Amino acid sequence: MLQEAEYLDLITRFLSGHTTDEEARVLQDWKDSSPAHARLFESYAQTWALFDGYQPTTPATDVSHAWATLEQRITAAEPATPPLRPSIRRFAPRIVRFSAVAAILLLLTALGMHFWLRDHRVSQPWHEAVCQTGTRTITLPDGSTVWLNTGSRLSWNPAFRTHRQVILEGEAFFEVTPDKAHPFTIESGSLRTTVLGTSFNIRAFPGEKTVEVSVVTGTVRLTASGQPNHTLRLPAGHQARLLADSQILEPLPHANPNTVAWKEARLTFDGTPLPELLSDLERYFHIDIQVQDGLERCTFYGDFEQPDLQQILQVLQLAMGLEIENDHGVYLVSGTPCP
Amino acid sequence: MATYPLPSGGTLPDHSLTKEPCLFHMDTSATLQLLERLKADDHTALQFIFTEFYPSVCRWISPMLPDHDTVEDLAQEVFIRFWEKRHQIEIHSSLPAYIRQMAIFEALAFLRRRRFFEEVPETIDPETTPLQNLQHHDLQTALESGLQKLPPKCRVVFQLSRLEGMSYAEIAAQTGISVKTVENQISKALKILRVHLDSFLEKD
Repeated sequence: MLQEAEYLDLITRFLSGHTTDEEARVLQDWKDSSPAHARLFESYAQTWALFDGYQPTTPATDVSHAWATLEQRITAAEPATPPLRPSIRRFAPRIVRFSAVAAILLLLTALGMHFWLRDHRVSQPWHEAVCQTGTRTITLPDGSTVWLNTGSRLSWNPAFRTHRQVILEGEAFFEVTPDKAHPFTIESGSLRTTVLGTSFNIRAFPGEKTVEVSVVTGTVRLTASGQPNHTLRLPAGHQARLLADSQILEPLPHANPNTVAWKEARLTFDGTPLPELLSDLERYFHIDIQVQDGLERCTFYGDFEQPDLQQILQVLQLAMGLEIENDHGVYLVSGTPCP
Repeated sequence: MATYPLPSGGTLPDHSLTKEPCLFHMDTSATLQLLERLKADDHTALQFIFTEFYPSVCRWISPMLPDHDTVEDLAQEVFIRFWEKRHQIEIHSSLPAYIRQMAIFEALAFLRRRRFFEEVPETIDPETTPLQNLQHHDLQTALESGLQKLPPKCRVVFQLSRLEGMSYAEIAAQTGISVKTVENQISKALKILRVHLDSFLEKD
C-alpha cells in the first residue's frame, strides 16, 4: 500500500493531468480498496474543482493614472516626430436649397436602413463586450452608458457616431445621450427599441420567453419584428413585455422598481405581494424558490441595500411568520396564509 | 488609414473597485485591425489595449507578488514590453491569452531576480498551523483566503499549475526548482486548501 505522502502526490498528478496510464491504474486500485480512500480522493478532487473558472479579485487600480504614467515613459523613449500639418482647404460656401432633398433622403433612409443594416453588419466587424460574472459598465462612443448584467453580451456598430445601433443579449440598463439626429436602436431578441435620449432597462435572455423593457426617464418606442407596423410608445415609469412566441407587445400595469435592483444593489418592497417579492429575489440572487399555495395575499414593506440573501430570508421569516428551508439548493417557503 | 473609430472616442470601461471585470471579446478581424494600428505606432491602439487589460493583468499576477505597488509596477512593464515588441507580435490564439502569458512570465522573471525560488522546501512540513475553519458563505472569498493561507512559494507553484495550467516541466523550467519539488508543493497546497474549503465540499 502507498504511504500517505505518495498517494497525495499521485492524486495531485492525476488532477493536474500528469499521470501515466499505469499510474492511473494504481490510483484506481487504491480508491477501490476502501470507501475511505474513495472519499478522500473525492474530497481532493472537489477541492481542485472548486477553482474552475476562479479569477483573483481585481485589486483597485486607477487605470487612467496608470496610462498617463505609461504614455510618458513611451514618449520619452521615442524620437520626437514632427507634428502633422492639417491640410487647409479653401472653398466658397454654397447655399443649397436642400429641404426637399432632405425629406426624400430621410424617407429612403428609413426604408433602406433596414437592408443596409443587415449587409453592413455582415461586412464590418462590430465591437463587442461580454459580461460573464458580476456587472460591468461600458461607455459608447457617443457618451451613452450601458450597465451590463451577468451573462450578457452587447455589440455595437463600429460607425457608432452616425449609426447608433446595438445588439443586446441578456440584460442591460441604458443611459442614452440625447441626439435627435441619430436615433439609438437596440435589437434584443426580436424586439427593436428606438430612443432619442432616455434611461431604461432591457432584459432579453435567450432562455426566457419574454423580452422586458422598463423605462426610467424619457420615452422609448418598441417594435416587435413579427409585427413591424405596430409601435408601442412607452413613457417613463412604465414597463412592457414582448412575448417571443406570439410577438405580442403588451404594456405592464406598473413598473417594478426592482427591475434595476441588480444595478443599484438595492431591493425595494412597497406592499409587494409575496409571490412577486420571491420572484424578485430569484432574479436578483439567481436562485430557485418554491412557495406553498395560499400565501399570495401576504405583503411586505421593506428596503434592502447591498442585499444579503440570508439576512432577507431571516427578516421575512420573522416579519411574516414564514418558514424557509433550503432543500438541495431550492428554497421552500411555507407558512400560514395572511388575512 | 484604418476606417473605423476606436471606442477610445468615449472612455473605456471603468473597472471600478466593487465590480468584477468581464471579458472583453473582439472578433478576429477587429483584433487584427487593432494590431495593425499598433504596428503603425498608433498610441491610441495601445491605450485601448491598456485600458482594457491593465486591471486584468494586475489581477492575474497579484497572487504571485508581495504587495500592490509591485503589482502595478510589473503590470506597467508588461505593457512596455508589449509596446516594444509590437512589430514582432504574431497572435495566433487570442489577445487576452497572449497578454496573460506575458504577464505571468514577467512576474516569474521578477521573482527569479529576487531569488524567490531558492530554498523551496523539498518535503512537506508537518502541520504547524492550527486548523481554523471560518464559515465562509461566499466561495470567491473562501478561495481567495485559501490561497493567501498558503506559504508564498507554495502559492505561486499552485497558481501556475491550477490557474495557469502550466505543466510540472514548464513550472520547473520557469522557476529552477525540480519537478519533484513542484509536485510536493502542489500536494501541500491541496492539503491545506482541502481543510480550508471543507464547508464547500459535498459529502454523502
